[in-house]
This record gives sequence, structure tokens and C-alpha cells, in this order.
Amino acid sequence: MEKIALFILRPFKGFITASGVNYEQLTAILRVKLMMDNRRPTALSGMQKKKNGLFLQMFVFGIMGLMGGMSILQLNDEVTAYTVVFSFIMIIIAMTMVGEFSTVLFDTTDNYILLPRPINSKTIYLAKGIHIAFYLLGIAIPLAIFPLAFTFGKYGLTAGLLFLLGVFLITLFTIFFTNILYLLLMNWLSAERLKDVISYFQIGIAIVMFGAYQLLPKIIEMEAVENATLTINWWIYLIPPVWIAGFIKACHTLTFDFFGIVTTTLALTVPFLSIWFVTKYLASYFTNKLSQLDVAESGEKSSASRKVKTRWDGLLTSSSEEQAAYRFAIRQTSRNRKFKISVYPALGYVLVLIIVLIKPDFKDLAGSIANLADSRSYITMLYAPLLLAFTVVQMVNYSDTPEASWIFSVVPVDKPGTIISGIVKALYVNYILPALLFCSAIVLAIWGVTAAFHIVIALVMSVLFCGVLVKTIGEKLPFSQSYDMQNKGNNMARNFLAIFSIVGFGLAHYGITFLPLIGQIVCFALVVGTAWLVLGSIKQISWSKIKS
Amino acid sequence: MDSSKVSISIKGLQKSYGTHHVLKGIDLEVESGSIIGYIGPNGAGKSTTIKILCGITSDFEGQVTVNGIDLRSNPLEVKRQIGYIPEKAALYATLTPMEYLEFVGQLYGLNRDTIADKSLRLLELFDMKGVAYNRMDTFSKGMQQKVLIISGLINNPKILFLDEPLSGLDANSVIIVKEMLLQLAREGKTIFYSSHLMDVVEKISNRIVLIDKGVVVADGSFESLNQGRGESLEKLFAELTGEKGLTDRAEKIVQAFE
Repeated sequence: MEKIALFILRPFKGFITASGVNYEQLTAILRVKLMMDNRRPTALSGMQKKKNGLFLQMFVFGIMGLMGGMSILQLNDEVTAYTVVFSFIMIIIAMTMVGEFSTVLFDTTDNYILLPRPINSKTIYLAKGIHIAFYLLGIAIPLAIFPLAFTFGKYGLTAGLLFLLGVFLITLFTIFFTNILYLLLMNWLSAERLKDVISYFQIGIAIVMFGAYQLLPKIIEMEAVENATLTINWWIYLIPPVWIAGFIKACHTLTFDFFGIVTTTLALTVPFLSIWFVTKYLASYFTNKLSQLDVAESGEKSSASRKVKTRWDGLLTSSSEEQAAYRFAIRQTSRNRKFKISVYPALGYVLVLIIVLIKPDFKDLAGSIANLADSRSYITMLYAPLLLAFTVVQMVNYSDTPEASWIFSVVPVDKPGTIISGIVKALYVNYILPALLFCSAIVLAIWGVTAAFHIVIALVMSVLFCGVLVKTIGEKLPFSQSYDMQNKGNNMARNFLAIFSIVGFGLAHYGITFLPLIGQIVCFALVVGTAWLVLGSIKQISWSKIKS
Repeated sequence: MDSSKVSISIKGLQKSYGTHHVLKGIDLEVESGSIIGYIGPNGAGKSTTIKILCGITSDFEGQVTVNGIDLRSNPLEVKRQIGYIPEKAALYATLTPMEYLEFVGQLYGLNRDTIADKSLRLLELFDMKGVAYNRMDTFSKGMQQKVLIISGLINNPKILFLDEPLSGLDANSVIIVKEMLLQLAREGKTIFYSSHLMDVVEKISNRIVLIDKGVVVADGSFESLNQGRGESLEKLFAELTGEKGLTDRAEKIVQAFE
């Protein structure tokens, strides 16, 4: 990747040097930055470090482009179709940039490595700028491949070339757009809060991608969408993707009416003006703000000092060790960004999954809810949150500082099971139970109190599920493994196993619903008993059983 | 001091973060070939001084010249002459030592082959040849620190700034680094050394500058500061920073635990 990037840059060497930039330093910085990007974990590949992370990412963006590009084939109105495509590209680029590029942008290590060396500020700015541009092209190109192919197929060669130019223009504009977004955030938020906000962006990306993947095809199939056209109002000229769409249509059909002229002018001028504005005014302001981040951080209270409520700890735990573990888990998980980035999307997936599985009819929502009430789909709703349980129980073993887990080995704890038990209880109360209660509320709203008993069964089943999870995958000390270790296990197989076991639990419950009431009560008692036994056995996990 | 021998000159150096005044007017002249032990309690302003002198923090008041070059008006020329070894292991840990050193060397305009030769030789001397091509995110703090030390010297600087350079190093490496600093000073290089390890500072520095609350409170050789009392630098440090009842305090801490 870095070789291709530097190859592209080479013809501009003279121009770059003439503008006062040290070309050798520039390429050295870019080479290292791109090399590190390729070794950096992304939100899409989970927190795993993959050797070819960038290629995997490109593949995923290619598939996304396919989804977005479908509108070219589906929609009859050209301007509407391209507005959809360019909005899609713009949003994905902006979100990815905010989410994933922030780790590069806010890396204060740069301050220690680059600032003491003899590099002029123009070189640093340009290196940052080109780095961003390459990164964005790495997203924009795979995103554009399918829409480009569809454009060639449907509207011909000229339209295809204009589309490529459009991708370039929208990328330029997105750099401007994202810069403004960052500057606004940096003005209002402290460094720590900003990092939190960025984590939520990352979570947002994951959920939106998963949701789009599951729901978009269903929405696109709708007839009303097929014949949708943009109504031309004054505010339509404020939407950048409309400019590009209007420009493509005007230029390849050669229809320069008022709309065509305005959009073409805007499309060809605003992106360049905005990028000039970014380099001229925003870049230095931005870098200044960045160099203050490090200092600001040491001066302000970090998010870690914010008080975290550790509810119910006394009530739910039976020993001081278990209680300590409970409180520890709540504090650690609520402040660990990597944990949040891995777990919160699962919460979003659960919601999307519920919608996908119960297949609501978007045209007649009331009717489809009425139909639902006659089914046993509440089982789906009550068991989908177990997906979250799986992620949470798995993720709690990982930490940025696994070496800190030495503390468990030196304190006089007879059985590490008490620690694990406290941790699991905390995870259940803080992450799994709220999701379950949320789903239970929906079930109650649709199915009424008749489903109450099944909600109670599902709650106990979820406790049992967590217990089984710990016994199978979680017999480890919490926060004791490096995130790198995640790769070592066979994740794919494990995920399948988890989904099968969730389905298994759901099916077992489904079976119970066919039993007469007395049978249901007996089964419930059995589940309660088993859950009790499994939870008890977790506390008995000995040091010799702790897997390293 | 003979102006031709002055390698660092600091006049009225001040720095504030918001309303917090970290440096309240530092005046200092450092002679070429000397080892300055720059010491002070936590938060005294040591790291801030070093960050300003290395050009990391550019927003300061006062005048700083390095080898006769004004830091404010010509920071690049100053940076060409200095090396900096930071306190925390600030390096790109996903790179290998060889990749990282090549990168840093190139920023100084060095030839890639020269850097590779030099890096390998230096890594070997620090017992790290075997991991020269391994990613540094798996390294211990001491190993990362060794790479930082090498990177700070790769451009053969005339002045070397070190901020707690020995943290994480094993005993043998500490001896090597101490000897190396003495040798560099003998060759005429200026060493600006900040540390909390008083015994090391006492042994290697030929001048000690103690700052507290942003001002210089003592400046001179260890002998002159000691005035023949035969005390260790540790004791002098406590005295000069106004900490007289440390033993009492320690006793109280022990009592509080009981």
C-alpha cells in the first residue's frame, strides 16, 4: 500500500519541493504512517489485528458500495439515484474518518516523535493532508467500484467518467466537512469527552453498517421508492450530493437548464474552495488544537475519575471478594473504550436482529404487529439479547493492560471462582439485564401479561446461559488477556457455537410453550435449579482450572 | 562564561498553562561538553523546560539560544543539532526497531543504508539485535527505552536532552548508558539530564541545577552545593526544596497503616 502511495506521489516531487516541503521527510512520514495504518485494528475487523487489515476493509467497503450502488439500477430518476449514491459515499467516508482516523489524528505520540525533529510545519501539514487523502481514497475507491460499473452499464462511458470525477469531488468536500465537524467538537468538548464521543461514532458506524446490510435491500424493494424523484426546492441546493448528481446528469445528457447550471457550478467550485480553505486556515488551527490535547489531558480530570454507580453490589454478592470483583468489573467496563466499542454495537445488532427476524411489514405496521400477537415471536425477542451476553462475557477477559492482572495472583483469594462470579453478576446486571428488560417491555406491550410468565422463564434462562458461557469460554481471570490474543482462538467456530447455543436455548423455550401449564411450571423449576447449580459451580472454579 | 563556549542560553524563560504558571523565569547558561543534572520535585517544571528547549512546546516567553541559534526564530536549525530522549516510551510501537530508526534517521536527512548499518550496530551493543525485526508492541518498557535512546542519538547530536532516560533499564544497561553519557561529554557534547535518580545525577553531572515551583533554587557543582558537609545529593535535595521532616513523615505513614 505504502509503495503504491509513494509511486503516485513521485510525479509531483518538483511541485512539492517548490512549495517549501521537504520531500524526503514527507515520504518518510507517509511511509511509516501508511505502514502503521495497515497494522492498525479497525472497527470493522473488530479489535483484531490482522496483517492485511486494509485489504479486508477495502473488501467490506466494496460490498457496501454494491448495496449503495443498487439505487442506480433500482431508481428511475437519475438525479435521485446519484443523490442517494453520493450521500451514501459521503456519510460512510465521514463516519469512517471520524471513527477510525481519530486514533491517527489524536495520537499525541506524534508530538514527541515529530516535533523535536527538524521538520518544517508545511511538511507536517502536507504529510497529514496526504495521509488523510490516501486513507479516504482507500475507502472511496472500493465504495465506488460497483456504482461505477452500474453507471457504465446503464448510462454509458461519459457518465461513468463523470461519476469518477464526482467521487473525487465528494471526497474533497468530505475532508472539509469532517474538519469542520472535528473543530466544532474540539471547541465544545475536552480531550477526554471528545474521545468518548468518537467511541460513540465508532459504535454508530458498526450499527449503521449492520442495519444497512440487513434492512436496505428490503426498503429498496419497495415500489414507492423505485419511482421516487427529488422535488426541486431552494434547499435542495444546500445538499452537496445533489450538486454532484445534478452535475453528472447535466453533463452527460447536455441539458443545462437552471438546475443543471447551478449544480454543475457548485459541484466544480465548492469542493476546491473548501479544500483551499482547509489548508489555508483550518490546518494550522487544527494542529495547534492537537498539540494542546496532550497538555489539556494532564490538566483536566480524566473520565476515569468520574463516579460510576455500582448498584446492587451488596445485595447480589455474598463475600467481600465477590463484591470487590463486581464493583471492579462495573468500573473497568464502563471506562474502557475498547470494551465499549466491542460491546455496544452488539446492543445495536440485537435491535436490528429483532426487526429482521420478526420481519415487520413496513407498509402496514399496525397490521403486522397485530399478526405478531398471534405468533410466538416473543421467543425471538427474548433470546436475541443473549447475543450481547456472548460478546460481554467474551470481551471482559481482554484488556489493554493485561499485565495488571497480577494483582489477582498475589491477593489471598482461595478460589478465583468468587472473582469470576462477581464479574459475571456485574456484567449481567449492567449490560444483559437492561437489554432483556427493554425487550421484555416490548413483548409485554405486544403480547400483554399472558407473556409475563415466559419473560420470567427467559430471564432465568439468560442467567443459565451466562453461567454456561462462563463454564465453556470464560474460565479466565477478567481483563487478563491482551486484545492481540483474540486472534489465537478460533473465533469463527466460537461464534457459530454461540449462535447455535442461543438458538438451542430459544428452541428449548419454544418447546416449553407447547406444554400445559403444569409442565411449564415443572420446566421452569428445572431451569431455576440448573441455573442455581451452574452459578454455584462458577464460585468453585479453582486456580488449577484457570486457563491461561 | 566565554560566549563561544555557551551551548545553551536561557533568559527569563516563562511558561503558563492557563492560570497555572509552570516556569516563572528561568535563567541559565550551559557550557559545551558539560553534563547538567536538571533536578527538582514532581511538577517543578523540568519536563516543560526540556519540551521548550527541544521545540515540542513553541509557546513560551523569554529567550532561548542553542549553539548561538535563536530557538524562536530558527527552530529547525536548533532541532538539527539536538537529540531528545523522552520520559515516556513515545514511539510507534507497531513498527520494528529497524523500521522506527530508519524513519527517525530519514527525518534528519540521513542515508537509509547508513541508518541501517548504524541501527544494527547500536541495537547489537544494547543486546537487541535478536529483536531488531520484531514489532515493538511486544517489547518490555526497558527494551522500548533502549530503542528511544538509540533514536535520540542517531543524528549524532551536539546537545542531548534526556528526560528520565534510565526508566525501565536493567542494571547493566544503566551502567552502559551512564558511561556512554560521560564519553559523549568528553567528546564535547552537551548533556542536559533530568532525573529523579539522585545517585546517578550525583555521579555523572558536573553541574547541578535544582528547580522548584518554576524557579532555579540552586545551581552549582555537587561539591559547591555540598560545601564540604559530606551529604548525599538526596539529602541536599530535601534540604533545598524545604523538606526537612521526611523521616517524621515516613514514620507517620507507617503508623497510619498499623
